[in-house]
Amino acid sequence: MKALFSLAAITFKEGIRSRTVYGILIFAIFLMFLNVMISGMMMQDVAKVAVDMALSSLNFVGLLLVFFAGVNLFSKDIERKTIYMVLARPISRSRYILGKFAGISAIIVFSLAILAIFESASIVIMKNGYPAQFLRFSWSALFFSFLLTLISLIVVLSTGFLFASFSSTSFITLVLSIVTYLIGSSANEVKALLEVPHDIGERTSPLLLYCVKAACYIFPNLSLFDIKTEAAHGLFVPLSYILSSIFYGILYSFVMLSLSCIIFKRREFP
Amino acid sequence: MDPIIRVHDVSKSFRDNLSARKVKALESISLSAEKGEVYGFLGPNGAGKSTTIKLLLNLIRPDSGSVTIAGRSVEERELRRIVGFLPENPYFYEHLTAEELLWFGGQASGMKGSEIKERSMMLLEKTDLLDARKRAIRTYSKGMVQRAGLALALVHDPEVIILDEPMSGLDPFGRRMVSNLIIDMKKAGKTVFFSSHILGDIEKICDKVGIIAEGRLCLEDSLTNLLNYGATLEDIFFAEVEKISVKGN
Amino acid sequence: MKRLLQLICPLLLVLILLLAHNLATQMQKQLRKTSDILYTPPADFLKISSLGNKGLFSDYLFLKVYTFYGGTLNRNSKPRIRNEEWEWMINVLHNATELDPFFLDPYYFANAFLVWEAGMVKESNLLLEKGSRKREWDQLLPFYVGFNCYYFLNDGLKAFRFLSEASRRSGGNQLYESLAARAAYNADKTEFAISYLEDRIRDAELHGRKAGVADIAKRLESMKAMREIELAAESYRKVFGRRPADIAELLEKKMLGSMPSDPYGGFFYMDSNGRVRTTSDMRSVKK
Ligand SMILES: Nc1ncnc2c1ncn2[C@@H]1O[C@H](COP(=O)(O)OP(=O)(O)O)[C@@H](O)[C@H]1O
Ligand SMILES: [Mg+2]
Repeated sequence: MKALFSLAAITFKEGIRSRTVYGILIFAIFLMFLNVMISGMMMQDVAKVAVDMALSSLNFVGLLLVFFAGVNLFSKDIERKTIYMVLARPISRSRYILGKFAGISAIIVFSLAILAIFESASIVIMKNGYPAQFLRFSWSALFFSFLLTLISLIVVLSTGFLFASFSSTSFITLVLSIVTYLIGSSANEVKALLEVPHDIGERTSPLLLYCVKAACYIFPNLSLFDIKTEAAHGLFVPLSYILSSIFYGILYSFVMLSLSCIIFKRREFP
Repeated sequence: MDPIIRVHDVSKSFRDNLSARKVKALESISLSAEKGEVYGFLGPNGAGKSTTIKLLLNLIRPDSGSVTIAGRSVEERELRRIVGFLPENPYFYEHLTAEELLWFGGQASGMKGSEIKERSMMLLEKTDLLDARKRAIRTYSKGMVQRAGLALALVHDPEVIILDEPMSGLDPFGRRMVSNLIIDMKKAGKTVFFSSHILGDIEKICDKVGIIAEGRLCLEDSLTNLLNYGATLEDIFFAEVEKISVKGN
Repeated sequence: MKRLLQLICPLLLVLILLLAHNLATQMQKQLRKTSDILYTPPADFLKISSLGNKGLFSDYLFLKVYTFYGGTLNRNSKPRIRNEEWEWMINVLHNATELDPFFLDPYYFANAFLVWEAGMVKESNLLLEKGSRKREWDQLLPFYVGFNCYYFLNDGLKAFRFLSEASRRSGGNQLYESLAARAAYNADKTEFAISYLEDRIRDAELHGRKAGVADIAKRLESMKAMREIELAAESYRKVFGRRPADIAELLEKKMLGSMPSDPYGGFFYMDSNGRVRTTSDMRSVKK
């Protein structure tokens, strides 16, 4: 446990001090000003646009962090053989994975928390400027959407871990996890589109539908973590929905990490 | 008494990713080091030294044969509590400082905080990194990184110390520092297993020498026995390696 | 000499760079002029490619229309905005509201500019109806739909439906209420208007709203009077097989007991279509 914690700690330090994170934070400040500017252009729905921008920037910056700081921190560890200094310790391979995952997750949570503070500041600014447009705005809806975005990023990170656990270069890991993200966040929409009964024109082939359905199960269904629209309009989201999505996310990550551990246990590091 | 490091009849081949051809790195190697011994593992580049050492740390697994330290299989996780390791051309998290690196090493090996503090200060002083201990490793020279790696290998006061080319990249001062450290460890009753191709260093500090070439162990004997015949280590080394090459071709 | 060259060369380079950039942007303008900028990708495609950022995409689409419209304000051409440009705008707004059906601005824009400036009432109303359905707390959108039906499309029944919905959502906004009643009346559905107004009064009493009840009651009284005349005219038609010429005929044939009075101070009459109307048009007549 101590070993796991200390690995998480140095992973966090290493990640936080790298330039990637600083670059991303500077970008975040830029996004904050952009948010104030763009949502101020709106005629009516200032609150909605401010929340949209805030949540989408969080999502976007989070993805940058996952791919360019997170997945890289793990796969570079193998590529550059910095992993030797860890595996030479009495740390099991599974603990290595978990420690690394905890450390990188902490980086993401930490950076996004800072970003969320900036974004909240921009919302406060807009709220004071246009109080009439913020009547339906709710901080709790915003928070829950933020929380689910965070979970979805953790899920994407866990798929990155699975790929890093068997691929030999960080580039392949990066590509595979980006592809997974793309599929995971669009499969549900594609499925919805294909399932709509077509009264005219050609019918979708059942094979295609079957494949898409399978993809929805195999790839993480990231649409479950998207309650941005609800947050933007202050619509009601039942707690049971939030809890079940979180449960799904944690379970999915758990499966990904377990697979990574199994693969990693057999792996050699020549 | 059982040897503390024992490699028995180990073969290992790598799959070449591009040509899918198997590259034989080790061919039924057997070697052993007694407790308290300094073992010099000699061989030309590409002989299989690093491969052997990675087997000792369970970073790779033998195709056949067995590898044990202190009578326990190297697959045992807890075994690495008593093993210290310095990789060849070590590379560490570059934004950490030497102090944090040692803190991690101690923590991961289950040491107490105060103990870590004490030992790391001692080791940083010995490796001449005291002034640089709060600087990121990124800013270190190659020699400094090597020395930091050495300190990391020793932070938990291991019984068995395995060093892969510890002298490479070091200036004469650094080499002397490493030699002195090894001698200190020997005095403290530790076992040191290190690979090198710098013969002069080995001659001074080793008790036992193993010579490897093209994945096969050509010779393993105590240094005193070897030098009894009047030859220098250099002569023996060249003779043994050439024998193998002739056999191979 | 060498120093001078060292100074001039970079300047020259910068100059050439600027020229090259200008040239390239000129070419780009040419390129854009010939290609069709009015293209909109289908909403389904946008939904998929938004990767869970539908709200943001919708904001972007709206801003595109909004800034396009803003850009046309300093055009000199006649008409200022071509038909296909209006078409494009409504398509993009449609997509924006497919991505985020709760987003108010596209609806608002459609009502403000597409209805009033381009006269695309039918198309805009389709959009507004969607907004009214989705934004079920919003009183403005059903009001817009109702108003457009009433004012532009002469669809009193639909206007009544949406206006009364607007009134319900607003918790008894008097403007909506009176418009709803007026729409129902104009749609020749006086009994709708009556039951609607009765309902409003009940609702106002239930919620303890005093203000405005008198107004509604007055309107209700007027409507009831007209309904009475309408019913009389109906029985007249059954008996005599034709419409009465005027209200006096109803009184004459004892179909109507007495001439009801208009609380607004006007007089009831029958128009050429046989509809009962009042000279006050349900607005207080100054005496
Ligand atoms: N990952 C690998 N893939 C393929 N071949 C390898 C790999 N690692 C080492 N080898 C081969 O194994 C042999 C021994 O290498 P190594 O143990 O690194 O030699 P050295 O004695 O210089 O440390 C070399 O021929 C090398 O080419
Ligand atoms: Mg080597």
